[in-house]
Amino acid sequence: MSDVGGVQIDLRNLTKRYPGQKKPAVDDVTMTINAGEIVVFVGPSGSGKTTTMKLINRLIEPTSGEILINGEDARRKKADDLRRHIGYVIQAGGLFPHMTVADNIAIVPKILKWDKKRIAARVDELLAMVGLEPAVYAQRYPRQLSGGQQQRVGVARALAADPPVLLMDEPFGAVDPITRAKLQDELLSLQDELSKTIVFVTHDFDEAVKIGDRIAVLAEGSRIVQYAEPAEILANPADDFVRGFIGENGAMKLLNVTRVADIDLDEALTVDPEADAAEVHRALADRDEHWAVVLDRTAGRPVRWVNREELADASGPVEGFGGPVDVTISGRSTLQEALEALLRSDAELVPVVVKRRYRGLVTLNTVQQAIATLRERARKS
Amino acid sequence: MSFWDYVTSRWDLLAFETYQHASMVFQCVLAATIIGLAVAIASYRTPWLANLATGTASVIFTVPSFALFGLMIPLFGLGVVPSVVALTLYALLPIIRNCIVGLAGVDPAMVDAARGMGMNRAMVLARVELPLAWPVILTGIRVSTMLTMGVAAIAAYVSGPGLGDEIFSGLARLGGANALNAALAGTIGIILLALLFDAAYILIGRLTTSRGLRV
Amino acid sequence: MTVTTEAAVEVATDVAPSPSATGSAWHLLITPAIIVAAGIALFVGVRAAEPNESELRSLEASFVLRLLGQHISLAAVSSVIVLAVAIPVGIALSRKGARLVTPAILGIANIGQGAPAIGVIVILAVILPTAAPFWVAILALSLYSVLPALRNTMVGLQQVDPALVEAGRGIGMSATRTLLTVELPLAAPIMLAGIRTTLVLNVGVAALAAFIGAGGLGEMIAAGVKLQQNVVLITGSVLIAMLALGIDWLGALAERYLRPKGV
Repeated sequence: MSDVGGVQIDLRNLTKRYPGQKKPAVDDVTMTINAGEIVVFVGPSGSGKTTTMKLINRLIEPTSGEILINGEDARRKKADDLRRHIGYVIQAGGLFPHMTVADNIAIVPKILKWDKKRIAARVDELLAMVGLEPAVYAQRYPRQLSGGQQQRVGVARALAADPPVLLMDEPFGAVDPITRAKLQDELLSLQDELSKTIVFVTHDFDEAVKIGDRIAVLAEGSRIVQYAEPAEILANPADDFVRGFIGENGAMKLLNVTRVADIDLDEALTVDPEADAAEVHRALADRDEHWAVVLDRTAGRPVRWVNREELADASGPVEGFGGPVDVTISGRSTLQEALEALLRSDAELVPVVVKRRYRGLVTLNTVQQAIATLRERARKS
Repeated sequence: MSFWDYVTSRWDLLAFETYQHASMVFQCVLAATIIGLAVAIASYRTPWLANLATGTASVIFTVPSFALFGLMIPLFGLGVVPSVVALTLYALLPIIRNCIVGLAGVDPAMVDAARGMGMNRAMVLARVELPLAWPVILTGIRVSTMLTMGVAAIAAYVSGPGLGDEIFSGLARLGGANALNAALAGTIGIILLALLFDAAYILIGRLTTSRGLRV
Repeated sequence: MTVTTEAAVEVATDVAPSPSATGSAWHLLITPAIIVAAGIALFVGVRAAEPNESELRSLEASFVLRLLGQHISLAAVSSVIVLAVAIPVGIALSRKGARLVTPAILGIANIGQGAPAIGVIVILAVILPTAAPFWVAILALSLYSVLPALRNTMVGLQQVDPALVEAGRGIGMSATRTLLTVELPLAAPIMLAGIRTTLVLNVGVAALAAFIGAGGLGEMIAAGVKLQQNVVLITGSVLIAMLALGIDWLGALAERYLRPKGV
């Protein structure tokens, strides 16, 4: 797959005024959306969040102001061309009921005049990517799919021409809570691979907290009340408007947004599978530690644990000793999830991986300490 | 002479009149479809224009067919032209109304999605709006055809073509031999044609409506 | 998405309230304006055409008024008969037990639209040579428009939300009471539109009664064509058109003011 990551988007003094209305729908918005991040616009209905999003692909033409996508002025381009390179997902996927799943996904590639083979290959690739078996689903019509499946096809369709930017307008608004949670998880793991720049509109603050790398809380006229990482907003809400939006359990939500990768991890000796056992033993003794992690040479994946006692009189490559790593925690996991995982497993130490690469270790103690700190901070604010 | 004898003895003429009737109705509905679609496409996004188009067509439609044919004579004389003009005007209302209802009834989210993917106005119309509105439009065409079929019988009175000739020749022979046979032949012929066209529309509907739209 | 079902769309085409019924009151003024304009244009046009003597005889007010009276009575009598038959039968056919025949009736009514009214008139005139032309015409008109009227009644009742009927029965109303207080009022808009369609249809078909000597304004058209008197022909056509538009307008008024409030 071609690997186009995201690009930066700059909104400068963006204003949308409708004729006959006193107040602008979007009033002088300036913000930077970092490349490869998911930025969630959250706000009450009428706050202009959807309007602001639609200004980016010019479904709504701004009255004044600038939109820079990867430094290029979006208003200088032809609107249709611009949109063909920005993915767009709406509620229930916005699938065309008269086209098959494959035809829906192929729309933009066809407009861009890709050749047939390339389109067919791309459709299969995308369906597989969103977890739908191409042979089963490609020729189905939207009405033959469940809500969650339709939404997945909607995402696949938006990704068809591999656009660097994705706009998502309350995409999971029409599905049940369980499916929604699943779709959110899938979006996050897709994003792990793709690193697109995603602008995501929702009125559900919990969704914003879960999905967003950054959240922009918008009030009337799309005024940015606070634009920060979820943890920051939860810990230090800018004002009562934001506090009202967060709701009651800000501290508990904090557990659900702080990711394992964001806390201070424990460190351990990491060694190559072919390292000499005696040498590893010596190194452990020097550091006065008991455990070392053996990393897969090419992928940096944690594969084995070895301990000092075991290596006492050993010789030869270290991969012949210890036991396999069977529990890992993703750096994307929230503290809440990490806590649960640690309580469930027997292991005292669990390696943390980000995109399968070793990042560090957590213990029950580390996580509990981090949680305590967060609680403290939440209480103060 | 029995009805059956009448039909067999005049088979060639009847077949010709039937063909003429069908061809006239088909051409008038085709013309009305082209005009109706054009009017609908030009007006469905502007409510007052759409109302004006539907309103005008419904005034024309309210004018009784016989009067409409009558009004064509001073303009076009007798024959094929006044028949075709009157029938086409008459066929407009169901088509314009259903085209506008169909196009305006397309879920705005569909249009939003299409625009958001970078389709221009023409693409949105051709690939999204018309296919989605098609079942409704086709129903309009079908209703229009049924109405035109019966009205076309009056064309014979202004010396137009078709099975109306049989009915009027029955009228002319009122009380004489074969009056009933002629009137029956014309009337039944037109009803059979209507059935045939209706069946054709069901088939066309099947063939041209996306499987994804069928319930 | 919300593409309406085929049946509903056919309703939209044939019997749904037209813009004049559902739109602003402004719409209700358009039709009278058109009628008045047509009347003035007709008057001025006839004057300008300087009709000859025989044409003048056909245009004489008393003669025209007599034809107009015949035309209205043809349309009125047949409409009363049609409604007297179609509404009770339509109600009966939309009761639970008879619902099976509904599609058949609707299908026949659909094809019936394709039947030529003139054919029905001529056939009846041939079959009933001794009957008074007026009543032959009434019979033909009634036969011709009973199917659409029946269909409109049934469609009107069918589109009433079954949940409301159930609710009616659920709070202990009898079937008859439910029909009278729930179903008919809710079906009223479409039924009124159907009645309006019937009236307009009968005004139109009544123009053909002239062919069998039953009178009506159609006589002016027939005479105009036969004698090549365009003035008479146009006068007849315009008068019929004005009459139809006028009836349609009255129907629109009725639809607007007779429909139960809140529906």
